[in-house]
Amino acid sequence: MQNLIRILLAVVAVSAASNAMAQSGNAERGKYVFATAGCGTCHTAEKGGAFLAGGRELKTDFGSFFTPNITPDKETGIGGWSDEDFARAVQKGVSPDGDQYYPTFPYTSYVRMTQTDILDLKAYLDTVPPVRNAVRDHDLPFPFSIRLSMIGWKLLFFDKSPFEPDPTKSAVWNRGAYLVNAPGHCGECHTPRNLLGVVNNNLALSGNKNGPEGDSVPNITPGEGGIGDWEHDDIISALEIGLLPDGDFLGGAMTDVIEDNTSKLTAEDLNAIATYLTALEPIASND
Amino acid sequence: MFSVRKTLRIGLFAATTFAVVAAFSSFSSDEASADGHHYKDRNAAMKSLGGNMKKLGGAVADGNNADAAAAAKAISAIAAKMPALFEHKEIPTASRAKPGIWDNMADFNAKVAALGAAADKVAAGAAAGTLGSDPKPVVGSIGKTCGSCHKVYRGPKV
Repeated sequence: MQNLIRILLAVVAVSAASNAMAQSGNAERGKYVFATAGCGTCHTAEKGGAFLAGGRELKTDFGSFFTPNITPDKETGIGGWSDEDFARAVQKGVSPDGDQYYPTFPYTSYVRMTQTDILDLKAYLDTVPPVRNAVRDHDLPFPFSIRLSMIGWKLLFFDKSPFEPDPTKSAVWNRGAYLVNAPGHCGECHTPRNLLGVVNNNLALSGNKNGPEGDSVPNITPGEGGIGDWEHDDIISALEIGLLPDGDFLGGAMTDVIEDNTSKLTAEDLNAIATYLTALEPIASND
Repeated sequence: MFSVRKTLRIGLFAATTFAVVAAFSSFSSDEASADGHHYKDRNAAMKSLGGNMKKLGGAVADGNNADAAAAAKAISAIAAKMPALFEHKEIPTASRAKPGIWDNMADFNAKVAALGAAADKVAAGAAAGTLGSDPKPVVGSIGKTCGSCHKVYRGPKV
């Protein structure tokens, strides 16, 4: 009987330990998730800003946003955050204090990331050097300055549905779909938005007249004006080194995306993205 | 009746004037400029850069060092001409050039010089036979300088 109790206790202990393991992320893997999610580009100020210490100005039709410090600094960064705080911020757009985030922060895409990716990402962010940098408030005109208005916006427009793999498609296609639509948040720039800043998913990835810095962003579906005449490997070259099929090189905001993110993806993931993009329903350009 | 004709005449005059002004402004801004510089020359130079980048990639993949060196040298030669091509501010509607080029000419020219230096380095590597057979790092070493300039000074497609 004593032996049985001992075994049962051991089983309970092992199970508790494995649960605890499942709760904490893998920082090494998280570094790669970080590359897929592209956090560094927006959360690092231009012209020599400290890594992830925020302060980059994002000019939009709704006003200027200043990205927050996401280093582990306890006072000005996210140092005191629990895993739950982090997941709620990244996937629900709510701060640990209950403040609503504006969807300039693409939680609208990150909501589709897996819990493993979220926890690993948090574990990686915990390892970067903490930087004390209090970032100024956003510069938004009334009524956009009212954060509470985001509750209504989310109620109406925030699609919280998780990423669902399509069983009729290959594992490679599904990995590409996940990377593009969840961490990669490609649609946040490449899909047109309406006057209320809502992404029009009927025209997903078909280009956007009003992207970062007011520049238009191209169609990346195989539709007219898009990437229909690109080879599979052309997409990989563009994401890896910025090379276009005609020997030209990408510019604009995509330069940072390539340098900080897509150039760091594995060959398998680049192949998955190319597989997914080339198989998209063709939509004529909206850029 | 007279007033209808008068209206027609005024309308015709206005339309003709508009057409002439439109044609003239199109000529003056899109076709050629008084100082002889020409955005189409810039476009042609950029296209030639792209063509040579493709040639370079193909040559590296084929292990053809002579062709790789020739493409890299052609890129360097175009880079050397860039400052003159962009000397005068011309931004016709078809152009993707951003005004910042002419506000930050020293920076723009430094970026162009980086393009030339990167191409020279590849040409030297081709001559020494040290480029390897993977075109991406070779093309990418030059392309990085293209991207750094396009990032700031080139607008989206028009």
